[in-house]
Amino acid sequence: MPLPLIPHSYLDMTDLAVISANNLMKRYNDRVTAVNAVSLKLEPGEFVALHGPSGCGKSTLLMLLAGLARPDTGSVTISGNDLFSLSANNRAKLRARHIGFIFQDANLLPYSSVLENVLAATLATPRANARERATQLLSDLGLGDRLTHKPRELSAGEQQRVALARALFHEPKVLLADEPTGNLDSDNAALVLASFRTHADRGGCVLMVTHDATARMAASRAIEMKSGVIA
Amino acid sequence: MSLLSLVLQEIRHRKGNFLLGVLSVAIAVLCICGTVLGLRSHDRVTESLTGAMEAATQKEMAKLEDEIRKSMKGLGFNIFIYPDGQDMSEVYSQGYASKTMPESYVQTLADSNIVVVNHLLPQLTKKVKWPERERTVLLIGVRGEVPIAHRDPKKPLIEPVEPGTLVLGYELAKSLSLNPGDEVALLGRSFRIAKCHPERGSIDDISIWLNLAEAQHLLDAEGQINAILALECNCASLDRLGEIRKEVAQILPGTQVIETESKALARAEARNLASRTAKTQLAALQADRASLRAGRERLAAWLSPLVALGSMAWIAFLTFSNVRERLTEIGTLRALGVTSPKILTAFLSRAAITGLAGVALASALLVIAQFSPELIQVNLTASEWLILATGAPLLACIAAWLPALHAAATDPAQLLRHD
Ligand SMILES: Nc1ncnc2c1ncn2[C@@H]1O[C@H](COP(=O)(O)OP(=O)(O)O)[C@@H](O)[C@H]1O
Ligand SMILES: [Mg+2]
Repeated sequence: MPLPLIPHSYLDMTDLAVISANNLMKRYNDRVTAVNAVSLKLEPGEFVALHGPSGCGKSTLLMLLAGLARPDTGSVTISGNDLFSLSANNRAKLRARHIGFIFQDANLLPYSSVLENVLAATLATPRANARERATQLLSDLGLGDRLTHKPRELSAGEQQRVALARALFHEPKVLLADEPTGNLDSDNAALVLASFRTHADRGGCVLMVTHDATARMAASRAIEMKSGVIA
Repeated sequence: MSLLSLVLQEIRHRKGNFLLGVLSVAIAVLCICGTVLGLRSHDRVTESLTGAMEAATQKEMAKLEDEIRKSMKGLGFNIFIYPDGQDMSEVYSQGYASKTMPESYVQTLADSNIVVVNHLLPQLTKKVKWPERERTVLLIGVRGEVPIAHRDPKKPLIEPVEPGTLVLGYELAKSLSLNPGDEVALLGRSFRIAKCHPERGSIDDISIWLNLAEAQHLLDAEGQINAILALECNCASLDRLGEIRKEVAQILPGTQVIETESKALARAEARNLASRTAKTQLAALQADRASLRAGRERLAAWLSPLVALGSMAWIAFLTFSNVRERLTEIGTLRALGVTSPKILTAFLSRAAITGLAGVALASALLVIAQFSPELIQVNLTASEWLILATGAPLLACIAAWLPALHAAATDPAQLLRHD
């Protein structure tokens, strides 16, 4: 089934928001309103930090933006596509091509090598010269000599760099990161933040949840969230 | 990276879970093959047992029949033909018939195409008082053999008694001190003693044999006889008496045919008994084997599905625990844009590979078992192998279906939560 995606030339137009959320609401068990009437817009080149107290709904918002959870009301538009009006399969394909997701834990496949963990991105959607691309990304992140290693042979920082390579593999327009530096030493944290900066500078956008003041400083803009609402 | 290589890498990583699944499939396959092959080898054993028994019985029967034929050839056997309407109980109690029939019956029989009787001896027997000697004797008038028309004339079997002579039984000769050549009077006529028989220990010892015509005259029964003795009867069939009766009845309607006891008869009876016994034994063996097979079939009928179901339940459990272990992985793959059908496919492929590996392991064991064919004979047809090779992965997939569906359908946002 052909995906109703907008052509690249159109995506590159800087006046168009890469991702925008409109009046998102998500309630759990009819009691907790995790996300309440949130609207936001990320433009190409933006690196945004999202902060707020624990339990205010940051992770939930990221899931909604990535289409991994469905909002009770509201909509998400990515590169001009209304995420929740797509079929589940097309939503997954859109996610594969346009969204990179990074978690606090690297969440690597424990049974696959470093290289294959990056190539796991091709499970969702194929790409020409995938092996060369993955090798290049890993070398750029200082892991060129660790391609055949298993995740358990790597430090937390190295694992997170593999996860970063995997997230960047399809050159997504949007990077969503949920406390990506939470488990990292300062060197690795700096490397991850620098990568985000580069991604934004190349025309992508980054939305990063963080508690860390240093990380927030690296971003170009900060959004504060409180009790499901953006201040 | 393909889905298959993901599945294979995961299998290599979690060997324990995979091997448990493979073993369970292999055990189920071996169990089911075992019951099928067991039934087959049961049938083989039954066939060879009953076959051997039938062959042995046939051989034994052939031997017995051969013996009987030989002995009957040597011995022949003897029958009495008694007049129409004769009360047989009287014959048994007094030793002869009181009714008579025309002597011409013998000629009628002899002229007929009778094939089963070799020698015909007409006789007239009566117990009388020997007035001259005050003794009770059995008077037997005999004529010697009547030649049978369609046969070559042959040497008479019994020497006829010359007219004017008597042959005496042992007791009479001894007690009356009579010897061959002596002249004696009997019923007012004078006879010369031609011969005295040695002792026989029977009624023969007080019997007097004389020429039939003279006996008829003395007993006032001209042209009458009361028995025909047929000697050395032979026939191919083992139901000899029935055959003779049939033949004689066609020629002399109403007469009665009695067989005197003979060794040949006893052997024929023995043979019939042996044949009956062998048939009963064979039937018992077949019934026994059949009930054993029915029992095995009943066992197979519930054991095979039970084993298959057990194995499926086990694979379902293993898949479920595999899914549990991989929740974060599933969430991560979903975040990468992998669709739920693909996740489902991954888990089902894993189950199918488990099934295939199980069949392969079971087949390998069966092939190894072939090195000792007395243990089990693996004679599965190509289509049965095909059924195994497709059935086991298919059932494993069905077993893994629910846990795999659970894995594919779970909300990825839930899977990725960690707080
Ligand atoms: N699956 C869920 N079921 C019920 N409540 C949930 C679920 N996920 C999150 N919540 C609740 O929603 C609120 C927001 O959670 P979350 O988005 O994880 O916050 P944050 O990431 O800012 O700490 C919290 O009160 C949390 O307990
Ligand atoms: Mg959170």
